[in-house]
Order: sequence, then C-alpha cells, then structure tokens
Amino acid sequence: MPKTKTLRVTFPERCRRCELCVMESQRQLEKVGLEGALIRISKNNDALSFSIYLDPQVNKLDIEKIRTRCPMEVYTIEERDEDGLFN
Amino acid sequence: MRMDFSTKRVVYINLASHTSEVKSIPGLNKYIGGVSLGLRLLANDIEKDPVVFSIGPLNGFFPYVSKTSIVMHHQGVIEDIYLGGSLSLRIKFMGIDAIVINGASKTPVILEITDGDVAFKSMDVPIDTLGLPGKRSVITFAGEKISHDSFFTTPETFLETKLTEKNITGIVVTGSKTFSIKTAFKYEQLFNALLKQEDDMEVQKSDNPSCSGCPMGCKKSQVGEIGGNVLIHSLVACTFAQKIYSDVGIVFSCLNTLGYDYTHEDIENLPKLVEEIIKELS
Repeated sequence: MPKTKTLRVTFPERCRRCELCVMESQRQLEKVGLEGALIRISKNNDALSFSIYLDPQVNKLDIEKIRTRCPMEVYTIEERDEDGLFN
Repeated sequence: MRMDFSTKRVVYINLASHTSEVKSIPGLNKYIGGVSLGLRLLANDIEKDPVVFSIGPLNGFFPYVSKTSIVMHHQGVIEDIYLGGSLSLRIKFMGIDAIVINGASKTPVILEITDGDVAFKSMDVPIDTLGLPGKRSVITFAGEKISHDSFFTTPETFLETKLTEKNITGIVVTGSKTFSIKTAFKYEQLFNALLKQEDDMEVQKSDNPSCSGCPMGCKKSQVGEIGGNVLIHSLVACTFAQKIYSDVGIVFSCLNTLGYDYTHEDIENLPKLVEEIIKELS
C-alpha cells in the first residue's frame, strides 16, 4: 500500500518565529516573500509563543527539507497508508 | 515583483499634512542601504526633522541579515540604532528600501503602512486590528519603551523620544510582495552555506523569539544595537554576524546572486561615503 507523508507541527511551543521554514517553503515555490505562503506564523497574546498554520498544499513540497530547516525541530513527518479516496 | 536594481524606493510620510508618497530615487544606489542610505535621506531632509527607517539589499534574502537601521537627529547628535524582530523583512516585502517620517502630527496617530501605502489611524483604533496577520510588524509603546512584536525594543530612548515628539503612538508595517530570483540554484547554495556558518555567530542559541531570518533566538537581539561597523549596518546584518558579513567577498557574492551590479570598490567605499555625510551634517 502506498504511503503518504505529511508535515506536522508537533512541538509548536518550541517555535521562535525565525520564519526559516516559511522562507524554505516559499523558495521551493521559487519566490521570496510572505504572500501565498503555505506556512503562516502568528504571535500569540503572550508574545513568547506562536501559532503555526499549515496549508495542506505544503505536503506537495519537499517537506523533509522544510522539517530540517527548523532550528528548533518543531516539525515531524507523519507517514501513513493511503486508504482510499480520502487521504 | 521584479527587483529594481537601479533605484531605491522610499516612502515619504508628511505627518503635518497626513499625506505620503513613494518615490523611486536612482541617485541613492551607491549608498547600498541601511545606515548609509538612512544618513543620506536624513541629510536630504534635515530641516524637517526626519526619522528614517531603512534596510539593505540582503534583508529578507539571506540568513542573519535581520535588523532595521533607524537614524535621527537627537539633541544635536546624529543617532543610529538597529532594531531586531520581523520589521526588516516586512519593509523588504513592501518592495521598499526606506521610510522617511517628516514633521509632526497635530493629533496622536498610528501609521498603518501596507505595501508602501500609508493610512493615518486614530490612536483609539486597536493596533492589533491593523495590517495583515502573519505579514505585519507592529511597533507600539509599552510604558516609556518601544515594543516591537511585543518583545523587541531599542538600546536607548532616542526613538521613543522622537516618536513622542512626532505624536506617533504606533506603526504597523505589512509587506505582501514576493520576488523571484533568476539564479535560484546559486542563491539556494549560497543561502545554505551562510546558514551553516552558525559557529561564526558571536551569540549562543537561546530560546528567545528570533529575528526573522535568524535561527539563533539569542539573548542579545531583544534590545537591538547601537553604532558599529558601517558595512554590517548598511546591509543591515546583525552585528553578531559580523564575521560573516564583514567579508567583502561574501557580500559581493550575495549581491551578485540577487542581480545587483555593485563592485568591490562600491562596497569598500561605503565608510568614506558615510564620513562625507556626517561631515555635511555636522
């Protein structure tokens, strides 16, 4: 059975908003900037923690490269079986 | 957006009339960016008591190039400070090289700057409702000090004094432009090589919020910088990355990869240019 790899925000509390993951995902789309980014990072009210939003389209990119770009190892890659029409 | 390598794009804000305009100024290219560009713009408008925010050609493109230069005239002295956080990338992604804020507002005002367009908002507007989430940088006051992204601040109180004199209670900068790079492979190689030079950083990794484009999250960048190396502050790279970005060869490679046609001499001549402006101002 084929496997699907998905980028997961496993340790959001580690994020320091360096935005290197955003830059990497944008670079894979051959652009520099924030518009249309598949990863968005927003500051939480406490100013020291951040929320990370992933567009599912990010999984079409080289997610291993995005994962390793993060200096805090915020991301993991989940591998699961493709089980039908929805995956 | 195509990068224009022949001009500098500057947002001019007139606080007295609550008006603004974006100007493309070709003659400024030799100043490269950051403090050199900021001082030139300050000298050009000195009678209007400007505060000038400026970035360099590498901000937003290369790691550790993460600060914003701010110059102003303060009690008879020209002051230069460097703010960390996300501001430099947002200014870059507006497609803007510098913001010149002239005069003073009659009423307290928040400046909402989006892709170079300026809206003058009442201080009663909740600042968190301005700009675009994820693409904005917010500067506001926390007591008597500046608070940028609720964490970063300045090393002194020059900017706080200047913004208070100008009746500015907050600034929100949103950048939503994107750039393409012709030499994408070479750019990526250079980016990766520079990012790996973490051991050349003069700070240790920590768990503070990072400046955008820097993996360190160090304990020193929270309070910004003051004074220092002209080339570093023209780029505007982090002072703690000076081992990397004071190397003219590396700087030349970065500029060349992005498409700028600066020569080694242009880079080496920067301190002289800055010296000339300071003489002109004194």
